[in-house]
Amino acid sequence: MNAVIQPTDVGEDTWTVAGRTFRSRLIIGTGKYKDYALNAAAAEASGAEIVTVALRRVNLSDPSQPMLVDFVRPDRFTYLPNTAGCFTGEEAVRTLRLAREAGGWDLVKLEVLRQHEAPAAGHGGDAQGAEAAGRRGVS
Amino acid sequence: MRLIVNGEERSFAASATSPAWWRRWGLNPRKVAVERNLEIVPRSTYAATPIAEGDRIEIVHFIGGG
Repeated sequence: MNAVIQPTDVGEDTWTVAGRTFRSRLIIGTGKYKDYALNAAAAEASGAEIVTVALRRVNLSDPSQPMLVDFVRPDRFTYLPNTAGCFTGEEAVRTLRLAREAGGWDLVKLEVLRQHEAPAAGHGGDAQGAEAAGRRGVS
Repeated sequence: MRLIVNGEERSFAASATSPAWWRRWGLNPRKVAVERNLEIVPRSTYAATPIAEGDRIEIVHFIGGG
């Protein structure tokens, strides 16, 4: 009846996942921005505490190019690594182990793509990936 | 000594027996992750990890996208 939510109540509303507690429920992406500076400004303005990120090979021909971690700082945002670009569960797990070593989290955004060459083979990639990930302690 | 680094064959001095092979490109070890022959090389063991002819090295980092 008296369910008036006071601003202070909202401020103390938290949620916890994989051992970390957050105040914001917003998880935002890091793709398609003009540059990392704009990305960082948008992430900051949004109030989000978690950003989804991808993992790629370092461009060894140009190692001086801007790095995401220098803008969207991992000490300010929790990185939620994804496995976009992976076609098999095993590939996803390999990517995630690297992501964890690179400073990611035990929690991941699991995505396994269907192979274009075998559309009739069914999907199941996410399920296989989840199973493989679970066996290796990532969730 | 020839290594496959991020899918490309590259030559290293035969004396490059271990440390600093990632420093060759000015990489900050705290901002990358390294895999040698499909095994993660923990950051703390970079300097002590030996490399051998034909090793496949992957060096990755986080990028926007996701």
